[in-house]
Amino acid sequence: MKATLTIFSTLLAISLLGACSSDSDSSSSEQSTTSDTGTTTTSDVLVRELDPNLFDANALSDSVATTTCTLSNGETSQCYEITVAGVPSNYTIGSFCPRDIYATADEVGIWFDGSGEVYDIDGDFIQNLATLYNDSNWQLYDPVTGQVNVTDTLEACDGAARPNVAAEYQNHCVECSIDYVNGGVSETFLIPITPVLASSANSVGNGNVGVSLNGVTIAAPAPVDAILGAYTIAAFDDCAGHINPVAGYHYHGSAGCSELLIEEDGHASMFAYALDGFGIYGMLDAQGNEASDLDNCRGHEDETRGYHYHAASVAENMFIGCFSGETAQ
Amino acid sequence: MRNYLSFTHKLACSIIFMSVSCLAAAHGQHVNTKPWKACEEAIKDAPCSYVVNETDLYKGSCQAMSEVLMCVRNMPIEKIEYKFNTLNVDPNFIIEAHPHEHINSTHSHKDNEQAKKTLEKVEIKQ
Repeated sequence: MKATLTIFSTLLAISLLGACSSDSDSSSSEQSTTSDTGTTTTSDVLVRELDPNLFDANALSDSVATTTCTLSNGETSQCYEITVAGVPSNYTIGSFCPRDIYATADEVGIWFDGSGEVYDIDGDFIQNLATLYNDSNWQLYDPVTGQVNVTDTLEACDGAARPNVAAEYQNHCVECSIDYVNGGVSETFLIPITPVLASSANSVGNGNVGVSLNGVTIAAPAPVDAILGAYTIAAFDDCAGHINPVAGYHYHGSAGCSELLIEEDGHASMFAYALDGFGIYGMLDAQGNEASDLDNCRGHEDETRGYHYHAASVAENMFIGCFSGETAQ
Repeated sequence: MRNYLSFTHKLACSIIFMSVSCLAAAHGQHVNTKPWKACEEAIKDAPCSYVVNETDLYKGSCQAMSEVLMCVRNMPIEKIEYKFNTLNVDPNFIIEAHPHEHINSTHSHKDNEQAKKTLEKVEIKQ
């Protein structure tokens, strides 16, 4: 009984807090040899090796190492150990919550709940929450003073920036300072050097999706039901990132802040590697068009980049739909 | 005794933890999150769609995210508009098929009614 309860509790905690693993229920497809140019061709799909040199200067807090790893299909492979700094290398983390109901859009961050809208968390947004979510229990501000309830201490951040929001922090705009996590949470990821296509896609689950080229973890969709269910807004900065005491600063959407590599052919810019080793690019090409041949994972192949993903819009609270390749365990 | 207290402590924590989590989840059911609703009764990889702002159609498939299926769009966003069926009716004819314009129209009222019946809205699963 004791053992069962402990295991159950542990599993439940991991699932709610977001473990850094993914579901893996399939085996890899056949692979052929890799050429000197880092290109591998399977029976019908072109894959490119992960290039550590694409990461921005200061994006990684440790040198990239090569190690033997076990993939989600059970096979042994070679992986890079990539340690991201946990803070963006190319910009300063922005503002999150408004302090009062008079705040304007340029002073605050954004909110998205996955339903296709991106909202500036300005004063009007704060005042309109009860209408927006059709629930009169929303009251994030003091109607007398106009002050917005913000989690502006470490204790408040700790109690609110989690799926099970503490009761006293309901009806708060949730934000945490990067200082609460000592300037950033550095995290190491094992990523296959040569991506291995899976015979069937692996679910993203509740773990992380990948690492951005500017040194930030890109996460699974934010648990907006739990966040909104506690009458909180887990504010993002304008780059679709926010901070919690466990993961530090991380992204829940592709807002363009990490798109460091311009593609000469007008293709969307690459901004991250998924944990299966495939590159993730922006949603739109230089002409503002979106690919119409994406698979269920939001990936497709071209001759220049091989198989790769295109992120969804920031409003969709996600990057990719699943992993087409095997991830390291 | 120490083990017993440890077990009791874990039990209490687990109950509290689960209770709070369940409360949060229960609240969450009231939230209008379209990508999740679109896959509520679907299976993994099943096609799905939802509408944003009554004008934008998002189409994709149901994928597992955080242990729950949600609709992952993999087609460009479509603008919802009225489409015509295979009778190949000129859309301008329908737009102009207004009662006040019948006098000058070369089409009969019967023709207009027939054409209107060809007007169909895009099927949407929400």
